[in-house]
This record gives sequence, structure tokens and C-alpha cells, in this order.
Amino acid sequence: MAGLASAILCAATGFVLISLAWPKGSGLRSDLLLKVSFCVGCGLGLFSFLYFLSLMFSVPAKTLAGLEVVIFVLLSVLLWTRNHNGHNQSFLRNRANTSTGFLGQILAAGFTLSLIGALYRCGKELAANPQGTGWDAFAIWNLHARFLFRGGEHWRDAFSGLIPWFHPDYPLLLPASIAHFWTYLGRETAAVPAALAFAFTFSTVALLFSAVSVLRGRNQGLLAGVMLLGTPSFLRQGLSEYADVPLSFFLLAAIVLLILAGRVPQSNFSLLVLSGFMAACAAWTKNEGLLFLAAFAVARLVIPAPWENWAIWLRQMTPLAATIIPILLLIAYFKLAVAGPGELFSNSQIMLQKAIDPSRYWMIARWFLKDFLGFGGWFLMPGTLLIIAYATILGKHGEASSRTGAATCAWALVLTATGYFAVYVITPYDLRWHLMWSLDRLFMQLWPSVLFLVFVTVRAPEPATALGCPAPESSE
Amino acid sequence: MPTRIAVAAIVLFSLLSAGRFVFAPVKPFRPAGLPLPQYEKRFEKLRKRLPQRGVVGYLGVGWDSRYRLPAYYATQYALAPVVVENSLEPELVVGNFAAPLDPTTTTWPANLFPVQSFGDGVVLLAKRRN
Repeated sequence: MAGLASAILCAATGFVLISLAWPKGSGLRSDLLLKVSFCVGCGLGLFSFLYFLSLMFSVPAKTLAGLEVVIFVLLSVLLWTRNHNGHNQSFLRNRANTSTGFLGQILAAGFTLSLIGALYRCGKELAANPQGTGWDAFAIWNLHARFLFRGGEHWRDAFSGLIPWFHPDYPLLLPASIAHFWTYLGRETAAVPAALAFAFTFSTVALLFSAVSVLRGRNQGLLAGVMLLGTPSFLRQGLSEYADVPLSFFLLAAIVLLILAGRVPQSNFSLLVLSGFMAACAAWTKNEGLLFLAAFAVARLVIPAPWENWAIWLRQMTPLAATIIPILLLIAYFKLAVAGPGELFSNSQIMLQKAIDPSRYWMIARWFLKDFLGFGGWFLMPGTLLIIAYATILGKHGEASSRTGAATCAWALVLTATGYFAVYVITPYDLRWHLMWSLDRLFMQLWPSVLFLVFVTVRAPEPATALGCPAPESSE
Repeated sequence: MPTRIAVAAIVLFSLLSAGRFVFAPVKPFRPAGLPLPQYEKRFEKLRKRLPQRGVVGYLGVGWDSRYRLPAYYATQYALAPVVVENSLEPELVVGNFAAPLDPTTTTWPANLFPVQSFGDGVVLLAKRRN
């Protein structure tokens, strides 16, 4: 019962936070699925920060629970006072959001079939392996959670340098979330990491489907959803209880919110702030998320061309920085004062030697190409080729309002992928081994965001007329 | 027409991939040759005997090479928040034998002596003091 109540409190706090960021005048029920798909990740992000702070300051579990209830009530009151006159009007929605005709029915059937299959498989898999299906689940993520939960006031033992391959420098969103729910329950259960794996996997699917539907129509949303559900490695990774799918969720959430922020009046920064929060949550999930946060910040600083209008640029950057910087400081404190040193950047001389070795670049490039075609575990046809063919055939959507946002997000992803490449160049591990065991997961982290960007920038299979936006360049 | 083909291809190939995954057999995860909960059960009594926190050593014997390292990590997973160091240096050492021990044939490293056997190949060892 306590577990269910804490899960509801976490998701509800996430929902209220998301609803507060939604444009004024829209009711609670507008864009409901989109908001719901954000809420689990948003709530978990917030609660994991609070849990970490409670460990740092030795706050008792009951006080933390009380504090979380107070935060929820305060946010709810704020939302009620802001929204009690609101209508269920969406400021974001595309008019062509209903699935019509034969095409819509086929897509809806395909999506439903894939979703039922995925739910069935996930249920079976998690029932058979509630403690995950991979090495990292028990040797890193769930083990960190155990140290936090079982360690009590000695929780810092979790970051002992005596355990090889333990990665004490890995961020704590997932372990802290698991330990937090165990604290609420008063005992450990494998159901918690299993439920989080399930929640992140299907929140990502729901977020992709609902965000593309809102922006480009339901048929396009269904296609994006079918494509993600038809990527077996995504579901496999999600159920493995690794942190890659949670990271992919936060990357997608940050990108979706940035695009949505471009659709509301420029005086409204709340979606932008939330986008920064999600990017910071990515940095709190995995070290690759830190790379994404840096790429996201650089792209956001440069793409809107600040020299064209410094005043607007500064007005947009200030709230974004105000969200990201405190969280970054917390992560920096964790990295510098709590966690042990990372393994990647240990010896600068060896790193330099590796950086000037061309054979390493060639090997990484070949692996990138190979995994680009195979990381999804697709049957018969690589999904990456399918998506390229689809984008080529349908062509670019001509909506000007989303171009800057999409370009910023695309650059953030390209910079992140470039960062992955650079890390492989200097990796202290055997290069082939490192590529073999991690590259497909790195691609998977970016895959939902890539699908989102492709499906919002190419034309929908049916002509779509956007609300308050120019019509596409040409129709079918 | 090309649009319809593109849409049909996405739906068809995605469903094929999804279908193959959905109906593939579910394999139980056995990092050290046993399902994790079963492996952990072996260490339940030892965990109660160990101090609340601290560092213990580790001695893995008889494990197949593919299970040797996973057995160490699964032991650490079972015994957290006690830190299990993969060495014989600490005062207390956890002995993790792949097969149940035969007291008549088992030999211990010279600097260690058995404190208590917990069955199932799990034994607590301590450093011999001269």
C-alpha cells in the first residue's frame, strides 16, 4: 500500500509540475497523454534529487516523505489558483490530430498490435527476471541502490574504490529512485526496479507517440510509435534494468519540450525551463547524459543566433541557466565530494597517445557504421534504413516555427554522438571490447529522439494543416 | 503511391521485428549459473553473521571461468552494504565454493582458517594470527 501511495505521489507531483509549465489558459485535461507521459520521469527526477539531498543532510525518511507531500500540496494549490478558469484548449495541438480513413485505421491497428505484443513480452520477461537481465543491472545500478538503502548513515560506502568495475562515479537518478521507494516500503523488493524499467520503457513510447501526434498529427504519431515498438533492442534494453532507456527518455523529453517551447509565446519560458530540467535529469542518470547536457547547452546557445537579437536570447537563456546550474552544482558535488574518480579520464599522456592514433578512428568509424545498421536488433530490414527511405520519400515539412528548435535538437544529438566517438578514441579499456559491449546501447539512447525529430520534420502521410501555422509546402 | 509503400514498409517490417521479439523464448538470467535470487539465498546466513558494514575479502574456488567474475559480483550484490574486496587481505574473507565443501578434502590458504561454514559452499574465513 505504501509503495502504491508513494508511486502515485511521485507521478502526481510530476504531473502537477508539468501542468504548471503548460501554457496558461490550457486546462488540466488538454494534451493529457503527453503530460502523463512526462510525469513519471519528471516525478522520479525530482524525487531522486530530494532523496540524495536527504542522504547528504541526514534527513529522516519520515521527514522526507512529509516534505514531499508538502511540495505536492503547494504545487497543486499553485496549479489550482492558476488554472481554475482554464479551458481544455490546447495551444500546441495540430488540427489534423485525428486518425482518419483507411490509413489511420491500419496505423492504429499496427500500433495497437505492437503495443499489446510489447506489454505481453514485458510482463513475461519481468516476471521471469525481476532483477533484470544483464550484468550492469545487478553489478552496478541495483547494487548502488542496495548500498544507499541498506547503508543507512554509511551510504557513502556505496562509492568505495575497492570494488573493481563498480563505477562509483555513475550518477544516481536510478539507484536513488529505487532506494527511495524501498525506503517508503520499508523493505527491498525486486518489483521496484522492475516497475521503474517498465515505467521508463512505456513512458518513452507514450511520449514519442503523443508528442509527434500533437505536433504532426495522429497518423505520424502512430508511425513513430510503431517504429519504436518495432525496435526489439529498445524493449530488451528497457527490461534489462540498465540506465540507457531512462536516459533515452530524458533526452527525448528535453528535446520535445524544447520544440514545444518554440510554439508558445516568447514571453512564456516555463516549457524551456522544464526542458532544461529534463536535460539535467539526463545528466543525473548517466555520464552520457552529462555529455548530452553540454551538447544541448552549446546548441541552445549558438543555434538561435544570439547576435541577431541579444535581448530575446538573454531572456530565454536566463531561466534555462537558472534551472540547469543548481542541478549541475549538485551533480558536481556528487562527482567531486562523494563519488570516486571516474575511469575514463585517468591518464592524460596515454589519452593523448590514443588521440593521435589514426587506426583507432578507423576502427570506431567501422563499428559506428556496422552498429548503425544493426543496433536495433531488427528483422530483415534495419530500421535506420527504413527511416531514411521514409524521410526521403515524404520530404521535409515546411513549418517555419519549429525549424530553429529542430535544428537545435538535431545539433545537440550530433554533438552528443560526436562526443561518444571521442570518448571511444581515448577510452582506457580495450577498444574492441568497449565498442562491442556499449555502442549499441549508446545508439539506443539517441534512437527515440532521432525518431521524434525525423517524424516532426518530414511531411505526414496525410496533408496536415497546423493550427495557427503555415500549411506544409505541398500536399500529397 | 511511394508514400503508401513507405508507410506500409514501416508498419510491416516493424511488426515483423516486434513479432519475432515477442514470441522469442524468455531466458532466465543466471549470471553465476543460478538465478540471482537462488544465488543470493546461499549467502543469507552469512550476511546475518557479518558486521553491519566494513570490508571483507573474497575467495572464489572451483568456478567455471565464465562464472568466476559474475560469482564475485553476485556475492557483492548479496552482501551489500558490506564491501567485498576481491583479495585475501581483509581480516575476514568470504569463501565462495562452486560445489558444497567436503571438510575432509578441503584445504585453505595458509594464512586463513575457517570460522564457520554456512552450507552450499559458503564459508567465512579469518586471517591467521601468528
